[in-house]
Amino acid sequence: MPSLARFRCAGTYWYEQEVESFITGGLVSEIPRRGSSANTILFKAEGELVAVAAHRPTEVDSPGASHALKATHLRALAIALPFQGTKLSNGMQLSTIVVRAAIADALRVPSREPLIVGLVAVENERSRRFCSREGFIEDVVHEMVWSEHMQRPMKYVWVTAAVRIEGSAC
Amino acid sequence: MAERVAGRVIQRDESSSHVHCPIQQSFCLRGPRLPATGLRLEGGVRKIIHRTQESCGRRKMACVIERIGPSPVVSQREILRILDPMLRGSQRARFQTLRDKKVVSGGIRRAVPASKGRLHGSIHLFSTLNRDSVRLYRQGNDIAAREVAREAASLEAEADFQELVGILATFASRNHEALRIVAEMPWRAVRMIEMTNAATQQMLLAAGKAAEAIRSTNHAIEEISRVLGWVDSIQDNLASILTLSGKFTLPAVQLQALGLDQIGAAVEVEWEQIDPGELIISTSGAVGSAELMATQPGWTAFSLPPRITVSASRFASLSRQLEEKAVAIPSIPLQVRTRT
Repeated sequence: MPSLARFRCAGTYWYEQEVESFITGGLVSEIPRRGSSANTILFKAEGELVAVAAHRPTEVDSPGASHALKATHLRALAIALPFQGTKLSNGMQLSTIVVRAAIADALRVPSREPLIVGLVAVENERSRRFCSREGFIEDVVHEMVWSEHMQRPMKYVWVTAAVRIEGSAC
Repeated sequence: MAERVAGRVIQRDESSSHVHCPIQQSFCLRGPRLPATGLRLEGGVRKIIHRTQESCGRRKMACVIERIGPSPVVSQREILRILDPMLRGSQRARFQTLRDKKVVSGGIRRAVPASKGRLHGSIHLFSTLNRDSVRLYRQGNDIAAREVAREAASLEAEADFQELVGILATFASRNHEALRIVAEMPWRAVRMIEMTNAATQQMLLAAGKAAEAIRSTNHAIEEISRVLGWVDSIQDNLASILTLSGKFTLPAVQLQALGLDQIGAAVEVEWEQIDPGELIISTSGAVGSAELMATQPGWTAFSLPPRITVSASRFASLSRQLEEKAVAIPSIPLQVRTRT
């Protein structure tokens, strides 16, 4: 998938570069293994790749819990550099339509509960504001999670949202 | 704020005593002389008092960890809290007395510029060794206190230390809250700036380790119990602290008020025995928060395992969110095209 391998969304911050290297490296390399690009959503405008989102199912349990929650891990969500900050003709932010479309795609699988989880770098204030605006809740306890890009553990915020899809089309 | 628990000594080794408490499970008290505090009788139930106030100490349990160090700078307020945890009386007069007796160093003062070139205020920061010198002074060891204060002054004269104070002055210039943090609890600012880049963190670690090196060679300070570690987990109101020599737990409330109740936070804990069986435990932030082992080994932000286990409180939050489903999004017709 050549256009995905050339996707550019990163500025100077490590967490932006981390997402870009995941998309152009990790995500691309996964596709042959999975046999398809399922769970990867490409947003194109006039043939140009403007955004990428990736998700996959995960189960969340806890010691003592009677059941596990079938959630969706929103792995990555990135807007191509030329389109960052773009608004659609109806006034909606491009990033909003991307995250909503990613969630809607994840929830097409009936067995999954409408629960979205993700990890955002603590320093990534812009994405944290975006998540907050979209209704995601941050856990007050942060996680130290290994970053392949930085080759050391970095601090992330655990963000979650339980969504309900409403009937009207966007 | 005081946290009282009753427990039973269930295990003891050379450096620590593991205490079982029916309410807070188990925790660990460190320090080779701890049995003399009244916990000597294994199986005996004793009352242990944790207090957040800082005070003088008598023992040291230094934990040498490569990637963690104490905050190298302290404020006048933090120094005075060693002298009197309640900060009674005129702080200015008390500090002047310490200066007159030469048991504190001169520190480094920097102006804090505001926008448009106006003066926002100033900060006056000291080497962390001043806490040790004032503690020695309070214990009546004036000669050793003056010696440590001289060591503190030599550290403050280092270019790296002055550069650090400059960085903190820049941090303080953000707004009044940042200025207050630097002026009163500079370790909080240190925690924030250490994440900005690896070079800054290395400088902070080097400055903290320089102070540790002096502490480790000064017999007078060796008598203070101190350990550095990372918050490893927080469950059931107990925070587990991971150190190179093992884990111990603290009441989480002791970290909450300081904003250190986060997985991965680097903390410095000091123990002081004030009477047999009565301890004062003081906590503050340390340098090295970004350098610890991943708390979730095997994870990356993009690749969670197929099944993940979270804490009971996090699971409860997820369940609650699922009940409420507070986030409403309109359905979006997607044109699905799967490539093979």
